[in-house]
Amino acid sequence: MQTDVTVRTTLPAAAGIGLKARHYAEIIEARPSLAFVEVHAENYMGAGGPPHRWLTAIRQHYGLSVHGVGLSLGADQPLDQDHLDALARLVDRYQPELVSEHLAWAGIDGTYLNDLLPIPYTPYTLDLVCRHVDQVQEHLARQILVENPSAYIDYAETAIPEQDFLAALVHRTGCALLLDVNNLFVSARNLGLDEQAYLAGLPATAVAEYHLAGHHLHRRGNAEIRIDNHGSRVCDEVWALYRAAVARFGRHPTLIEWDTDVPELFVLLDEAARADREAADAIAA
Amino acid sequence: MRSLREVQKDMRDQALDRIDRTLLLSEIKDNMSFPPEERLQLYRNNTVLGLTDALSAAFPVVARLVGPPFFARLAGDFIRAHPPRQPAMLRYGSDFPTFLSGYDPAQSLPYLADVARLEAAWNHAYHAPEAVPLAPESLQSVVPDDLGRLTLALHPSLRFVASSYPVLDIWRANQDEASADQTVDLGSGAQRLIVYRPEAQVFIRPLGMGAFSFLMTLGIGQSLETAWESAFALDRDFDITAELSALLAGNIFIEARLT
Repeated sequence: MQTDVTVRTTLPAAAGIGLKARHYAEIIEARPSLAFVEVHAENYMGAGGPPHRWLTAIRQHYGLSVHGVGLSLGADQPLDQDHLDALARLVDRYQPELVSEHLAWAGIDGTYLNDLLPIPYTPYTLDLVCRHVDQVQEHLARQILVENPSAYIDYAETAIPEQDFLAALVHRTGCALLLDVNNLFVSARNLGLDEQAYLAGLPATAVAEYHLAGHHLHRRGNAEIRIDNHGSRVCDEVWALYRAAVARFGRHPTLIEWDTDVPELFVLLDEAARADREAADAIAA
Repeated sequence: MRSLREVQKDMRDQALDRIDRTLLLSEIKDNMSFPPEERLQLYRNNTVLGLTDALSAAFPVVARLVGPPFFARLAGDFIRAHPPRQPAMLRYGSDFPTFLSGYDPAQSLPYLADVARLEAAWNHAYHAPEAVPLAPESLQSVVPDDLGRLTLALHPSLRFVASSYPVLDIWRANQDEASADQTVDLGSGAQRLIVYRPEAQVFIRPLGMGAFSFLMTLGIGQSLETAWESAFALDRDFDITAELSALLAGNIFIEARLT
């Protein structure tokens, strides 16, 4: 075990982008101005190879956020100890400024779905997720951020509003929140939630990072549903919700996520620059 | 009230098309414009399409050989039979070649499973541990009488692929940079390959029967003399001096030891 005291710097309260393999070389050559890059932890859980070579090189010049998608904090079973160990090794190796995971489940009973599914919000699931977040923070010896999910379904069993569930999670575990503004918007529209009440219900000091992404609006007749595919620019309504969030929680590191049909780097940089402008406007207003 | 664990197992099974979706409807609120069955269907689509993309990225030549519609069907069948067993997807599909070799709808492409094994070896090499290759000149200090007792450790990224088909020719003809009129003679015979990554780049090298056997024997920790005997038994023309210097120049070994 490490016994020396780690000095952990914080990321600037400005925009970064999700790191994609197709942009590795251009980022190293052009060195664009970015507050940080974020990686999915699972993509760097191989022993060696080009992903680690690139990330090591890029880490020299940029802040880093490690974002897990596989811990399955909301699964009704013990956490996968091997996966938690792999995450701890990655965090130890790259010393990211931020580490985050999801309020969701991704697998059960030894089968994983490569997807993040919502959980019902009940006293039972609050105990479950608190136990898991405690375990992760103990194992990593650091605070983690927990992200609000996007959802297409609402469980009949849910008894606690999501914002109250997250507030209780913060209160009981000392974790921070990663507020995914697009997820909030998608869930609010898909499930009929009030996003302003949601923002008001989250503890004012707990948000430590924002996510922004595009989603797809699927219409059929009068029926519509929003699909969280991270495959386009951020829409105007999500920018408006981002300004409302910044007005309440202040400026924080803000990630532009783009995972399907990943465009040229300049498109992501353009979105990141807009995030900085929108946040500045929200503070000035 | 059913436990969350039971509900999650049912959601897993519906995402993998193992159970009737309507079994879950009592768990879902039905107060929105889109019906609950279709909402559940979105999770099923995310799982199957997401994993199909992951397989297609890991096995691009297999995907190209069969074309998108057949690959979607093949991937769906594989995903339902072999869903991911680990949360990290880097190794997903390691049992795809074996699945393919028993997949009846693809029997008209008998080399398909071998191509998949080559791609699986490439994926292994890509993510394998780093190790510094042995400098080619480092054997110069070994006195000739000791050479036979020498053992040579293979690079940890290295995998062997043996096929009755010209699997490397097929692989090369289906790279993006291959010319459109490149043809492969399927009757041109067996190919034995090593796939490894000494530095940042993955290499695929065809080897003769002698050199293949020589490396496999070294790979289990046997001496140069034993490895040479095994190679010579299969290939009377096996030239150890030329083969060994080519393998050393190829950065295939990481350590030499006198036993």
